[in-house]
Amino acid sequence: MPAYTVTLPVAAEPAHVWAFVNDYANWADLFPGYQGHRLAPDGRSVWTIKGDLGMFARLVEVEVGVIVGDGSEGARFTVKGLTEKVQAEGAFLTRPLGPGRAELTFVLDVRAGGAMAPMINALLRPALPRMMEGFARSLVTRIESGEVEVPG
Amino acid sequence: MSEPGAYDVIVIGSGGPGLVAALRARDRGRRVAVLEKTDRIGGTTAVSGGMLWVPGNHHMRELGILDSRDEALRYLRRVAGGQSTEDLLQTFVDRAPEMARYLEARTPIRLTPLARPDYHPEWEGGKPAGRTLDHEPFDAAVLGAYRDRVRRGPHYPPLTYSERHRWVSPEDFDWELIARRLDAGILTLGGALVGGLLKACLEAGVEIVLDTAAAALSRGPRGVSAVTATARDGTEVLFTAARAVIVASGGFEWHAHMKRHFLRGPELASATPPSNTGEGILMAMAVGAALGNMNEAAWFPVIRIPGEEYDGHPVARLIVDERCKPGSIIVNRQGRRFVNEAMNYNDIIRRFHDFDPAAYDHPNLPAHLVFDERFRSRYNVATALPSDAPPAWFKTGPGLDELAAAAGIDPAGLRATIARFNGHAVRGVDPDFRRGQSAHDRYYGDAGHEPNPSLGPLDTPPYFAVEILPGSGGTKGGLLCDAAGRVQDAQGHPIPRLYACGNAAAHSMGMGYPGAGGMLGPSMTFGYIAGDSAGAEPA
Repeated sequence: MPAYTVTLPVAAEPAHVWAFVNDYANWADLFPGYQGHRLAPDGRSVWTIKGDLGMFARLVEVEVGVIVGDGSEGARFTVKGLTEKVQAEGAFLTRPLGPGRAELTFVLDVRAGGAMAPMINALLRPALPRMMEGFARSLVTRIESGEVEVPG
Repeated sequence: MSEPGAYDVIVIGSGGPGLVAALRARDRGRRVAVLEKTDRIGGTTAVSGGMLWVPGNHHMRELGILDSRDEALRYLRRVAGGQSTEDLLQTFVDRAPEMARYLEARTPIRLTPLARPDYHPEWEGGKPAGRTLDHEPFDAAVLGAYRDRVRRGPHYPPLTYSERHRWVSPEDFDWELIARRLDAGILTLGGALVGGLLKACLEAGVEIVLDTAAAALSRGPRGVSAVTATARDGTEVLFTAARAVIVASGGFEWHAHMKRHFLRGPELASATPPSNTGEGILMAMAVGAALGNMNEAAWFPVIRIPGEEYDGHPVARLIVDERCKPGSIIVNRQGRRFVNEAMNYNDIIRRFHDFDPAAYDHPNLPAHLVFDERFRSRYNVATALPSDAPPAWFKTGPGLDELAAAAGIDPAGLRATIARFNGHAVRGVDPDFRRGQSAHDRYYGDAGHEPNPSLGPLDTPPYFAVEILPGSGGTKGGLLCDAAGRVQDAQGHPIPRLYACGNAAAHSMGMGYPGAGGMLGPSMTFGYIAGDSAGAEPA
């Protein structure tokens, strides 16, 4: 059950950070291995991701559903593998650090299923931190660049 | 251009043959550098099964198997199909056991004999077991800073061959053991061979230079004396070699032009690192090297799973169980079988390469593996396990006609083929292609299946098909060498101070594949010899 949390400071207003991460159109292309997504019923979306396990990479389709999004400090989401036996839970959390400064936390807990689960989880353990650190840094860079306008 | 220092011997490529050559040259007290163009060590060897086919090896007696020089030579003359030389075959048979002993004496590698038959065990001189050697697991932690520098491949979880073969299906593998080994950095198969060689090289003082691509050889009046290479940052670096250069840079299966113009038939997918682009062969040609065995490869029937990549290129997965277990067949677009599906992976591709001179095409391409639900629920197909739902890359049909439509196969042909095959399979015979007759076929079948471990009917819908491509585990043609590993020129004279081994050299097994490890056993032997010879060159 590989899980990893990455927290980075962001030089932006907390409300701006939240508004940015709350709309995945702002950052979907930064997600490691992102190939595309389409909307599904009930606020869900189906993402195609090239999952890189180190030994090899494979295209997977996952269904993402946001289960909590109170609009102020964070959003939690679930991920269900459609083409692979994998599930995940995660969250984006924001915390104010002061005027023009916030903290962004990205949490992801991935669980492979099926007979190969122990091996897949073992491959994910070193891959997950590498992937999440890179993603979080890219997010912060884009937020701070101001290249994407967000409401608020 | 920078000059990083002078060496006696430069080895281009860090696969098993290159590393054993480097170690052997270092044993003679030479200053040795290994240039590796990628950021990882091990080349094709590291992603392979890593086994060594060594007739007359010192472990065979542990299985109660006796071997002789004469038996090995009689067998190999037939295997090589006239594309090797008597000198190379005799040298291989005479020196391979010495190479195997050397590995155990000089490195942490520990060899274990397999009860795995030669690929033609019924031929004169063939053996039912013992000539193929596997490796005990290797703990990469002892490599220190190089722990994560050994190339990992997409093909095999970290189990030994014996561990893998213990179970009928990967479903039954000890996946917890696999996870513990991944966490701990335990290497098996080709990784264990590379890890052990790397450990010995590092301890001996062989210098490993990563991210440095050899680009050209310098040939002066005394022979080849230097390698110009390009570092990752684009800097040109000159490596001088006071005694010799050994080209061990792998095959040309990722060089589209060379493949197209040299190989005897289509090679549509490679199960090797995409860095095998043939430069070593090309740069030696530029200093006058002759070529040999260029039409051959270690042929593999492979499956490509859409979306799978390794180093940014499609993964090709060798299929063995899928062809050998009962309840599957391979058909062409006419729905006809055209080969014994359970034949060894190298020779089976000859039938994929059949060419129809009237139609001017390959009648057996595309080819499909066809199987039924009973097969699917019992055996794996590439990474699809029996407990998995059939993946989207399976072509599927509730009946044979629907499957034929989905796969572009003639339905009447498929129906007729399966009706005939089933009628024989239930009786354990295959009068058309003699599948399941050889000890080879039966070994890779399902030992618990009666009356023939390799034959079973396809009669339980739904039905499935997966395209099988003629692929390879590396090309087998390259620089023509003598029995000392010296590269020859077009007139048959050695090019002074230039050696080659591994898939960059014309392979001593010619067109054939004697058994598991039939690429690496000879390549390691001639790497061992080349290192010894290069190290003995005068300064």
